[in-house]
Formats: sequence, structure tokens, C-alpha cells
Amino acid sequence: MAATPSASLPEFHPDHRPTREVFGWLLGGQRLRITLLVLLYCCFFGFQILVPYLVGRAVQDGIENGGGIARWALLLAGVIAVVTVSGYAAWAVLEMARLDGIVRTERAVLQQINRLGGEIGHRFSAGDIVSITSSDAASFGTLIATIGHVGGSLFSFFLAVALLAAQSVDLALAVLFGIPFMLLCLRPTFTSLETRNAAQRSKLATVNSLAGDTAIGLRVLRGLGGEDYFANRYQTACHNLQRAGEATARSRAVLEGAQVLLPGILLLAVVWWGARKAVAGQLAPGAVVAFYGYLTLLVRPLRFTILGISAVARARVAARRIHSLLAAQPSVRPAGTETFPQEVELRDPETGISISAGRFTALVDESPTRATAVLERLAGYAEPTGEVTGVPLSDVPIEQVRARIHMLHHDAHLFSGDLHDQLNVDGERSRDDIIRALHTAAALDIVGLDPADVELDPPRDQPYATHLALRERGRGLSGGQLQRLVLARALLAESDALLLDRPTSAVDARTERRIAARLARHRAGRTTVVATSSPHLLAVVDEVVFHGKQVWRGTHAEFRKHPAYRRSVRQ
Amino acid sequence: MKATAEPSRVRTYAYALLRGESRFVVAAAALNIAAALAALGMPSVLGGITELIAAEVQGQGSPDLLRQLNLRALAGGVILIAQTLLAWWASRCVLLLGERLLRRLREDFLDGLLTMPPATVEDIGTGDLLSRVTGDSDQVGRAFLQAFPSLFVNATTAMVLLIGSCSVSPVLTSTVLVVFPVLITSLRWYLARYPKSFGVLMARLAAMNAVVAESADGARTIDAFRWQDRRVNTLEEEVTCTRSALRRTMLLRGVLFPTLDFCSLLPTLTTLVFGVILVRQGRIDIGALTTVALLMQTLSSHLISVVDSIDQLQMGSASLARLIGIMPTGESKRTIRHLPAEPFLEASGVRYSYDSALPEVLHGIDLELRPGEHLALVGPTGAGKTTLARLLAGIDVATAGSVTLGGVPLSELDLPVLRRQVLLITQESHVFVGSLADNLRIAAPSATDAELAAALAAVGAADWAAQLPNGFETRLGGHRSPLAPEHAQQLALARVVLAAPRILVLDEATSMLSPAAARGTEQTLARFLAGRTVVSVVHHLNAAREADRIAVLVNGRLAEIGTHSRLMAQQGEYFRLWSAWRA
Repeated sequence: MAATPSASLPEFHPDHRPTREVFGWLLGGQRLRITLLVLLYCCFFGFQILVPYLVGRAVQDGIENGGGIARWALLLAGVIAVVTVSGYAAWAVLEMARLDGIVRTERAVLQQINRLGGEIGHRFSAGDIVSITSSDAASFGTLIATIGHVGGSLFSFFLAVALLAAQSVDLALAVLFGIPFMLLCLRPTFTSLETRNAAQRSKLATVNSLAGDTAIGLRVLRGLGGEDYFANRYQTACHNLQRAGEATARSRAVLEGAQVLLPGILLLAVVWWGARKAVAGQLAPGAVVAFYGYLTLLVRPLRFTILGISAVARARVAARRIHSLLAAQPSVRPAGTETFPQEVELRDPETGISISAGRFTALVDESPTRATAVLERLAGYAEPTGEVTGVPLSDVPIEQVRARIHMLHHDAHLFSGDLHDQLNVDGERSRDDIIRALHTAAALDIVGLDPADVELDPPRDQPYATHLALRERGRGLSGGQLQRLVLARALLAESDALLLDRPTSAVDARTERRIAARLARHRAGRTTVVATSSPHLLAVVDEVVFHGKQVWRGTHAEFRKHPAYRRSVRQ
Repeated sequence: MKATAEPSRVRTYAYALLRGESRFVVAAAALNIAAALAALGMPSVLGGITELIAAEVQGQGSPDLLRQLNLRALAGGVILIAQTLLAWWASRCVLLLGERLLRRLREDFLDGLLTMPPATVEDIGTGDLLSRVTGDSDQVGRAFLQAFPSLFVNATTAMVLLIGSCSVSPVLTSTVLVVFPVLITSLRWYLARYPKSFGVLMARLAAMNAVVAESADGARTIDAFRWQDRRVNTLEEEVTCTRSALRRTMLLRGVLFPTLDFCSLLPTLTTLVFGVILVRQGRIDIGALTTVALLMQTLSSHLISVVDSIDQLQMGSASLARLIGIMPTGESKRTIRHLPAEPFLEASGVRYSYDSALPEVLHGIDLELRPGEHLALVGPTGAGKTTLARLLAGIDVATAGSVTLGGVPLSELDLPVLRRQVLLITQESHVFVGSLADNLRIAAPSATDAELAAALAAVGAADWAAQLPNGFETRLGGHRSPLAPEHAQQLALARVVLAAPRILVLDEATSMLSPAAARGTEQTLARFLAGRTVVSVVHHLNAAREADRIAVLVNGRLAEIGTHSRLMAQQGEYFRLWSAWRA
């Protein structure tokens, strides 16, 4: 997404240094690998510098001195072999480091998702998270590559200077100061390039976020016919990106030119000066050949520095985004040490609504959103958390809260993969448990029950295809099928208290009636709350809590004449 | 690998893309060749200088040696300036070309995304799609903006260097040519194998990403079931697969890359060995040897860059294949743009299955909608109501049979034309990243603010909309201000009011609202819908009762159809549903 998500995270410590922290974590974690990488690149680039040196010496030796060429040829072949092998090894280490950075980020993000739970959805969009695990994590790979390149080319630079110094100190000095001086000359161009690069990246983020949003909302967009409007918006963003990209291209072209001009001047000066010395008999002609070779190779540090600067800038932006996700703290996290009481009587401190232990209670509310909020507090998802038999949930370890109280959200998620694995929620549910839950949720027809037998109670004992391969979010199933499957799954949690938010809103009346009767039987003797406006469910519960202007308790039959209640219940 | 284009399609696409910018491509090529030619100047100047020195050392120097030396250096300076200007202009041209191509590609990609069949979208999955949007488009961007220009520049330079070297000493240069058969053969071998294994790696990375994306999507469910470890295990399984995919690509490169690098560096060696021999035989002079040796050193660095950029490009092309993979193949069948004045919707013999491997969901539905009528679609859950609604709205295309509008099959209607006629609103809503106005204008781009306000009022959303901090310009979507689900649903309904289609398909469009709010919204919507053809999927049968006709769907078949009173009198399926509802 375009904006950094940190905007929604006010509780940042002022002395926090997100960039440093993430750099330390992602780079420090693979210090050894990076060191190895730099060493390999030193080998790769350093031995390349030896090539012109050897060619120079060979030309000199073979021609002026009439010596044998075979020795030089062999040496050169050896050097080429080292360059080749170290080049491949460097690549392999780099690719491992790259993948490692991505895997590290993915693991950390998943851990953070696990820690934040449902809150993550309020703070970061799916597009944010995917671009953190793909683009941002990858920019650290590029940074590691740059560290290797810059390290290796710096080494080869000093090696070249040393080799030059053996032949001519003046020339070595010229190169030693000439190349850094060239870099200094290019500074303004670097700065403008970096500014333009940053502008381009922010435009790119807009384009990616628009495309990502389209991918997510595609189903809705399809029904609306908003494709044209969307395409236009995207085209405008692409146009802006192209403009920004063109500005960067102009800067880069200037740099490309400078990369020819500056080393060229240095080369010309060095060779001209060298030639004069050679004429004076102070330098061998073969050395001039070597100079040219060095300088061809010395352009590389220049190029890598250029790439390096934008790699660092990109990694800094990535670090801030990664940090904003990883540093986010959950707002509600019961972490007390009290033991979860044996008897499960729930109470919402905000509204004073209480739920009797072991009974089936319905919650009817004028506003469905308000009912959801009550359930979320009762299940310990929102502040102020509910109380269980007098103990605030925030005083009980979260593990116990989740194990003992299960809430089925209205938009519960069905993961891709094997349905059976998902229904076997803790790995200990038997086939019979699963069939029983599917039967209660009237979902057996999805796994092969003949539609003619849906009324059978208990169900026919037959093989059921519970190993159904599900798509992401259960796509391909109808809304009603999805709802019945997640209800069955919630039942299989076998929790002491089960809170159900509108569990049958997408189900037809006949199925709803079947579910209502079976649900009451399935949960008999255990605390169960259902937020609903369905008369079928209301008819089977032990007690109805009606939350209107105030809280009333009674039964569906008693409330039936109440006008406010009638408005809140489907007729 | 799902929805990935074959190499031939990638090539065709890339070729068409370049053709679209043919003038730019020609200009860039010409400039690069000129820049490479200029790059030849420097080594020959330096070769000349060496020759002068060698002559001097051997005692055959000319008297005005210093003047000649200075003259040559000056010539070198002039060449350098020309080379600089050409290099600047050429790279500018190539980089700008890259930006243009990338923009075309992005737009084509989004067009593909917008027109691809929804079933394909679901098959690929949102996580994979998102990683195409970000990861793959970045990779292609790098290929276009770095590798492509670099390949172009280095390949032309290498070519020109070889030609130049030939002009200096054809004999010596010919010894270099032996590396090319090896270089080209091994490159071909590599390119025949690597893209596939790299494509697998990319797909694995995307799958890894998808695990995280899906976990984020279902974070609350993970929390509720304490499935944290399960998800971590799923991710670790993907990580293991990705690692082994990476190992496979490494093996391939382990065979090839050393060979390529060796071949690139070999010319220096051959020149040296043969050069010295030739000089000793007196067949070439030392100036020629120096020049060729210098050219070959330069050639090596260009060849390495060529190989590098080919590698980058093939990675780019693997990503490109994933981007092109979602673009439609062949010409769109949606070519019909005109409709008869009074189009009526008709389904005949409609069958549907999501996948040839999955059981059929609808088994031959015949349904005719009269213009202006309100048809309620009812039936037990899983009967195929949503599927039929999607077919009637032309979102999915029937496996057999057809849905026609005024005699024209929906699948052949131009999409914008179709959407002006038929819209589908479901209980699934999405608030797009953008302002409130953007979110509404998706349905009616030219609507005025007053019209937007009227539409919001019509669906009962005027109150909360008025409380938004910046009115219509309030940013919605993403993580910034998630609207409550019922507000999102009202937003969806307001879009319908604005779009004002002739035919509207509603699938449980008010199910997220409270019964009271739903009734209010349905009433206002009913006023707006008067005179339009409406198909609505409903579970709440009192909504069905008000419809002109009711179609009862059971197990993918149309069980009965008629008015409320007629169906009640029949005492069939509808009667049973109704009794259950009333009980």
C-alpha cells in the first residue's frame, strides 16, 4: 500500500530505530553467509584484475625478452578457472541468502499474524502483507548482493592500485585518488537520481496497491461492471509511474554517460603519462596494456556504487514497512495467571448481560453489530473483556481462554486444503465426532449424503467424502454450504462455552429448523450463546436475552408480542 | 503451474510489444550501434600509442615522437567526448523505451485481470494473484529496465568489437571465434532447461506467499482454534519445497555458468598465446597485438554482461509468462454491442459445473424473465441458487445451454454493454482503495455529487456517510478505515442505484443488515426497482411473497415456478419451505 502502515500505530517508542533493528535482524542473522559472500566476490573480482596483469607481463616477457609463453598461458588459464568457480560459488551463496531473507520474513510475519490474531485485518490489508513478504523481503536480497559486489570490487580496486604501484607509484596514486574523485564528481547526479528513484517507487506502490485491490475485489467488481472505471484509474496511475520512470531514466542516462567519460579521461591521462615515461625508458610498453585492462575493470566499483545507493534506499523503505508490521502490538491480550473456573458463567461488563452456565441462550439485539461486540467481549477478543464466573478473562492465560470459550465469527475463514484436516480441529477428533458435527450443522449433503435423506435423524451410516479438497476461503461452495461447514467445525472445538454469531443467516428456513433442533441436543448441558434473529433458533433456546433500550430476559414465546423485539426478529 | 503462458506465447507477446514501439526500437538500436562503434576508437588510439612506444624502444622511433603522442591523445579526447554523448543518448533511448514497454505490459496485465473468467481467478487464488501483481511485475520491471538495455548495449558492443578486431588483424581475431560455438551451444542447452525450473521456483515462492496471505486472511480463525503451529507447519512444508526447487536451479547453473564464464574469458587467453606466436613469426606487429589484446579484454567484460543479462531476462520472462498467463488467449468473443429495444432475459437448458472433475451443479434450467417482473429464487441451501444467479448476470458462462438477452447470448455481449443492462450484487462486498466518491463512481463514472448523495439516501446510508470526516473525499478501503460489514453492503446497494441497470440480480444482498434495517432498505430499493427486471435470491420467504413470481430450485433443477398463491395451492416444494418458515 502507498502509505506506511505506521500511521495506525501510535505507540511507537520515540527511541526506536526501525531501520537499524530490521537491518540487524535480517543481515546480522546471516553474518557468516554474508562474510563468505564478500570473500567469494573478492576472489571473483580480484582474480579478474590479475588477468590484465598477466597479459601485460606475458606480452612483455614473450616479446621483449623472448621468453616462453606457455608458463603465462597456464597461469592465465588457472586464474580464469578461479574466476569461473568463485563466480558460481558467489552466486549460489547469494541465492541462498536471498531465499533465507524471504523465509525469515515470511516466518516472522506468520508469527506476527499468529500473535495479533484477527486484529491484523484491522491494521494491514492483504495487499500490504503480501507486498511485505514478496517485494520488501526481496529488496534485502538485492542489498546483500550489493554488499558482496561492493566488497569484492573495493578489494579489486586496492589490488589494482597495489599492482600499479609495483610498476609506477605516480600512476597508482593517480588511480587511487582519481576514482574516488570521480565518485565525488558524480554525487549531484546520484542525489538527483535517488530523489527521482524514491518518487518512482512511491508511484509504483500506488500502481501495485491499485492492482492488488483489483485482484481482491475482482468478484465484486465483476458484478458491478466497474471495470472501465477501474482500468481508467489504473491507467492514470501507470501514466504517472511512467512519467516518474522517465525522469529516473534521464538521470540514469547522464550517469551512463559519466561512466564512459570520467574513467575515459583518467585512462587517457594515465596512458599518455605512462607512454611518456615509457619513452623515457622508465616503464615497459607491456605495462600500458595492463593499465587499460585495470581501468576497464575499475569502472565496475563505480557501477556497483550507483546500484548500491538505490539498493540501500530501497532496503530502508522496506525495513520501515517490515518493522511497522512486526512491531505492532496486540491491543487485547489476556495474559494473567488466574485459572479458568470450572463452571462457565459469562458476563459482559459493558452491558451487564450475563449468560447462565450450561444453558442455551439466544442474544437478540436491535443492531447485529452491537450483538457481535457483546460476543467478542464475552470471548475475550475485545476490551473490556468479559468475566467468567466472576474472573475477568484478562486475568486468565490466553491459551485457556481460547480452549474453553470458542466464538464462531460471522465471517469465519475456511482454509484451502483437506476439509477433514480442518474439521479434525485438534487432531483428536474421530470420524464419528466429525460426522456427528456435520449432521448437527446439516452439512452431510456436502460430503455425499443423498438429498432425499437430509431429514433422517440420526443420519444414515455410510461412507462420507470428508476428505474434500477446499479452495482458498472455500470458494466454489455456496454461502450456505460454507456457513454450515464452519458451524460444524466450531462444534468440533468441543469448548465449554460456544458463542455463535448469526450462524444460519445464509441458510434456508427448513435447513435452519433442522440445525436448531440438532444444535440444542448437541450442546445440551454446555454453555452456548447464539446471536440471531432467526425464529427457529429462538424457539429452541432455553432463554432469550433481548438487548433493546435495556436488557430483558425471557423466552421467545414471552417476548413475541413485544414490538421492539418483533422488529429485531425475522418474521 | 496454474495460468502460466507457454514460451511461444511469451515470445509472440514480447514481439508484439516491441512492434508497437518499432520506431523507438530502431532508434535505440541505431544509437547503440553508433555508441559501440565509438567505443572502438579508444583501444585503437591506445594501440597506436603502444606502437609508437615499441618503435621508440626498439630504436626506430620517429623524430617528432612527442608531438605524435600528443596528437593521438588529443584524438583520443575527441573520440571520448563523442563516445560519452552517444552512450548518454543511447542509454536514455533504451531506458525510456523500457518505461514505455513496462507501462504497456502493466495495462495489458490489468486488462487481463479484469476480463479473465472468475472461475480462473478462484483457481489461481488471491495470494498467487497478488504475488503476480507485486513480485512478478517487479521482476519484469527489472528485466525491462536493467537487463534488456544491458543486453542490447553489451551485445552490440561485443559485435562491433569483434568486427573492429577483425579489421586490425583477421588472423588473430579468427582464433577467438572458436569459443563462440561452445558459448552458443551451452547457452542454448541452458535456456532450454533453466526457464522451466526457474518457473517452478517462482511458483513455489508464490505458494509460500499464499500461505502467509491466507493466514492473514484467516487470522481470527487461527487464533480461535489455536492453529498457530498448524500454519507454521504448512509454511515450513512450503519452505522445504522451495528450498529443493532452488537446489534444482542451482545444479543447472552449476553445470552451465562456469562454462559460460570460462568461454567469456577465453578470448584473452587465445589472443595472448596466438598473438605472441604470430608476432614472433613476424606475421603481425606488436601494435596490432596490443590493440587486439585490449579489444579482447573489453570483449570479455561485455560477454560476461551479455550472459548476465540473458540470465536476468530469462528470469524476467518466467515472470512475464505468469503475467501473460492471465491475459485472455485469442480474440474476445464479446463482440456484440447492440441490443434490441426491449431485451428480455432467457435461460434455456442451462447446465453448469465448476470443473469437469466436479459434479454438475445445475442440470438443465429453462427460465424466461418478463421485462419489469420481479422473480424470487428460493430453495434449500446448496440447490444452486447462487450459481444460477451468476449465470443470469453473465458472470459465469454455462457449461451447456445458454443465457440470452434479447436473443443474444450473454457470453458474446461486449462487457460494458452487458453491465449497463445486467448487474449482480451479492452479500460479498469489497470496499475499494479510494475515496467514498471513487467507490460509488465505479458504478456510474459521470454521476454528480448530488446524485451520489441521493443514492446513499436511497439505501439508508445517508446518516453514516454524513459523519465521515471528509465527506465524499474520505479515503476508504485497505487498512485505513474499514467500514462495518453492513455499511459496506449499503455501499454496494448504492452503487446499484447509481448504475440503474435494466436487469438486476440480487444474491442475499441485504443479509448482513439487521431485520429492521433490511426491511427499510428493501422498501427504498423496491421504489427504485419499480419497472426494472429483478431476480433476487432470498432465504427470508416474506420477501419472496411480494415477488411477481417465485422459482423454486431443488438440487440443481427448477422444481416449480409461479405466484405465491398458486404455489401454495400446489402444496409442493414451496409450500413445504413456507410451512417451515412460518412454523
